[in-house]
Amino acid sequence: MPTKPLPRRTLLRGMAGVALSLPFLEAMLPRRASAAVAPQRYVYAFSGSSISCNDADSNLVVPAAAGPLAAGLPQGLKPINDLAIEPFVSLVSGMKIDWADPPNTPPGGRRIGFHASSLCPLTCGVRSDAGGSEAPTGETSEFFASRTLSPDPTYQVITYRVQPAYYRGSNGTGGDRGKISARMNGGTLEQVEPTTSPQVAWASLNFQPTDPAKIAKAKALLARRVSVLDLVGNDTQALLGKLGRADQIRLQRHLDEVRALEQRLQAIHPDGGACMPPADPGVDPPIGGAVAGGDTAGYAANGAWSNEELRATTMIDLIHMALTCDRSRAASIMFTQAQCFMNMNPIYTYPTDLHEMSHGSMGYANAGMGAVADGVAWHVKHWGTLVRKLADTLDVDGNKLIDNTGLVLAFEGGHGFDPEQNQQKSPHSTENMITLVAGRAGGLNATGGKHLVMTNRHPVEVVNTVLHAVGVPGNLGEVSGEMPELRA
Amino acid sequence: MRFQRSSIAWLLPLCAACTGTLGDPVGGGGPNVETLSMIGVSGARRLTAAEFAATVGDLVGETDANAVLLLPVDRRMPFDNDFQEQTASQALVEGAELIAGNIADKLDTDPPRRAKMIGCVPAGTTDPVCFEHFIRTFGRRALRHTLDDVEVAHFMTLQDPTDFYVGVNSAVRAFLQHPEFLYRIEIGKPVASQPGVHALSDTEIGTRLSYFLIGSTPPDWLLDSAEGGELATSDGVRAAAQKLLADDRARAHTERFHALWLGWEASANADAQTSTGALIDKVLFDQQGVWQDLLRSDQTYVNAALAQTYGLPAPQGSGFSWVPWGLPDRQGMLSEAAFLSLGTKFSDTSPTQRGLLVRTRLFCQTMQKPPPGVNVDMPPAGPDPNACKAARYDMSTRDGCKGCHAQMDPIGFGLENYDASGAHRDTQPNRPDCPIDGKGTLEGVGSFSGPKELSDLLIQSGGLNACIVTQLYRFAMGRYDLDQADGALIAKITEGAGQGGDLLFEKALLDFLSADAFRYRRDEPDPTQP
Repeated sequence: MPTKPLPRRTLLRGMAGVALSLPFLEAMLPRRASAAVAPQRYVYAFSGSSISCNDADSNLVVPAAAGPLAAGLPQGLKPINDLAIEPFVSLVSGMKIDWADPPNTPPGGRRIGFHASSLCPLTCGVRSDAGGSEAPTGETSEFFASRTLSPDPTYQVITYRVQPAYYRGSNGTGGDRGKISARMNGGTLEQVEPTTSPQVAWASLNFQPTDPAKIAKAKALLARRVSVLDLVGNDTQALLGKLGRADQIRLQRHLDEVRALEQRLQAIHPDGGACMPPADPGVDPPIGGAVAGGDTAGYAANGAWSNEELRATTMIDLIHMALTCDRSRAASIMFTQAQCFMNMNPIYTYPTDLHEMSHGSMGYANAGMGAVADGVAWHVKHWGTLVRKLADTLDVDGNKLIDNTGLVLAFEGGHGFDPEQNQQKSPHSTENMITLVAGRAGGLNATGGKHLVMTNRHPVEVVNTVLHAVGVPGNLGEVSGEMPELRA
Repeated sequence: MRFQRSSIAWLLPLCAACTGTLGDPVGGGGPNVETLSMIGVSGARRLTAAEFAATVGDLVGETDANAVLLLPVDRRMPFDNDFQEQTASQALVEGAELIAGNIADKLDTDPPRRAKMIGCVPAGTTDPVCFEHFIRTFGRRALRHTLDDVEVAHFMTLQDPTDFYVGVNSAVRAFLQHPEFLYRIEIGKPVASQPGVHALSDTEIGTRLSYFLIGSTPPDWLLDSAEGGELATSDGVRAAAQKLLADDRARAHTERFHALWLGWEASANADAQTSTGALIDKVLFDQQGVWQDLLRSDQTYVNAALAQTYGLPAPQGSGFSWVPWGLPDRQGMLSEAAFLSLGTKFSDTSPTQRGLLVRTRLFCQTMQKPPPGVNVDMPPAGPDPNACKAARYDMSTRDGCKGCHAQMDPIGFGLENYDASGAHRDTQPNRPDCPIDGKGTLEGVGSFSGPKELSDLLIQSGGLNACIVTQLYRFAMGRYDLDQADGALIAKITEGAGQGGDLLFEKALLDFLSADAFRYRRDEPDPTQP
């Protein structure tokens, strides 16, 4: 068990009104990973796309046969070959999220209308909300995992989103379509807003300088930040008693976040070993504006784009270092929002968005599948880069980080029957869904990466398997199955 | 508990359930019966990214627009300030902490700006007197009220024993992430025998006024007025509001209100926004005209690029100039590129989306969502997917569709001669074989062709005034969902500011702000109770 941190304000109170930049004491720090035992880590990633185009086949994404993942993977998975991570990655295909409109939606199922209806069951294993909400209706896997993997609140549960804006209509956040995270807080389910700013993501990990000349100054600044947060937290606490119930709930949540940040700052420890603080990413790329569907000129002019390429690269680097430096043991990254309207022109010179490619904007049927496969590959590339980095990084137990980590990449849609339109071969389908699994924790991919066809099994069974592999007991939401084949 | 989104049907049977006589005091000098029936719900409102940027600009002269990119993006509902949509998050708290630190550190690199903010010169490495002066003056502006001694004592703990400016740096960080800075918190004073009703404090009234009219923190003079008791009466609030409206920031904020309301904040290019912003400025501020004059204007403010788009002679010089429309079917705001940029889909204008926009944003009507089974991601195909657009969009014979589409599509068809850039066209893009007749209908009002005739019909319909006031009210209160009390005040303002069917915009603003109900708040329902 970790040492309980000393409340810093305890020291600051009663000092005749003047706060000093006190040095950190060992007793203020939680116990971090020892040299002998490496922590287990979990990363969940999400792509807001399906894996096919209307009337197309999905063979540019899914290999024709089950078996070991080897050279010559289809276009959508080619980054796995490019990054040489076949030994650490498995593909599970053929899965299904069943459907029916409320009140007949099955456990872990979705309502019939496609868009964003799979987001909830995919991320939390609970059926779509009967009232039509698209948000997760149960705790999502990174928070579920963190209750076991993160021994105290000083470990940040990372929730990043690469695509910062919705890019349609009035733009904005995308609302529930831009969220894949929810946590339990005192018996209440809370939706969690992701971090979309790379600069905030970097700063919040509070990497410390390794240059001895800068260490003292950095420590002093950390102490001041803690003092400031302590004042802010205390004033927020005092304010609560003056508010009505609704505002109390609002501000209590704000206070919880302030206290959590304060605790994380108190727990900062000197970095070393494989922990190499990444450089400040600098000012965030500007956030792109909305582009109307089919506005090829708008896409060609690079609207609906906030340099997600750079944002994804930065966030993947940060997750890698957050795991390496033991700032976090549970993370999620939403590469693209559900029904993703991100511009594909800057990446592949397709003047359209990811969603419209699925509906034939770069050609219908198999003629458009190449573009869709490229869209899938973009996600696989960034996710695979994290896998590669973990495979190259020494862990505290002498193994590599990949040996103590489980990672998932889920896709919003599959390929098959669309009950909403009564159409076959539709990207508006949760048949033939795929999920990628990486890592070696708990025997995952023990005999190398493979393609498993798990016909009509639920994608959250993959998540359960990875959670169990990293030592998290129980199952996610309403889905109880798992796939031991992934640990064989 | 959330109020149901609904149409503004409740504007009609107002006060059917009221008892007592309007104007009767409830007792104890509190609000009278009529005022009580009009007091709106309020809750803690986090500053939007735009408000945050404006506020730190006013407080410390920070002008880096990139700073607020570190805050979560505000959801548009269509306004960006709906407090019931705001959620505290790690992303928010960490973003605010980072911005506060960045701003404080930048001040350290700019001693003149920092000295101006501090307002005194420290006598040495420590100077408790000067530090306290800074805490009291800056704190008042940042937290929007005069700090009491307990509050001051909290901030005094941030002094540094070895460096005065390190303490200032810490204090700036603390103020800029303090809950009473990040949130506009209204507490007020309970009204006797009216559970859940509170009279706002003077500074809370000043804060409401300031953020609504100029989108930023109350200027010093307004805090002085508030704390001098001048906002305790309707006349006092009205006078302060008039003074704020004379501030140039009120013009920019009114332009932004329109851009959010109608949606071109996200869709229109900078030229188009400049042009329509100038029209709003001219009509509502320079001429103090009725709002409908925005739809009647026979002039437009263009540069060479916009003039070319509209088919007008280019103005002289390189900038913008006012020019007469001089075109038979163009007039007013609906003819401009900002408005015409709205409602596009499937690579072109969408008659449905444009009609939906008019119905929901200008008439405040609620339209049903498409029924299950309709894939709105695919262009309407009709029997012949290669047919001209008018035929493909024809829903008149499609059961389950025609009811709603009859209220929307004919409006959009009347604007079809204008593409999303605002240019006129005679045929469908890339389909010279598909002429556009440009004829539309506003159901129940009349037929039209083009934005000029649509503008005339909208004015003639008489349905605009209540919606304009409703949208103003939503923007002011930071709340989309409205209830009967909101409706009662909206109806009163709408009636009072009407003039021959038009709406006196400034009068509507001032009547709302000087209404007694504006100086009160009602608690939100307890969300933990069924």
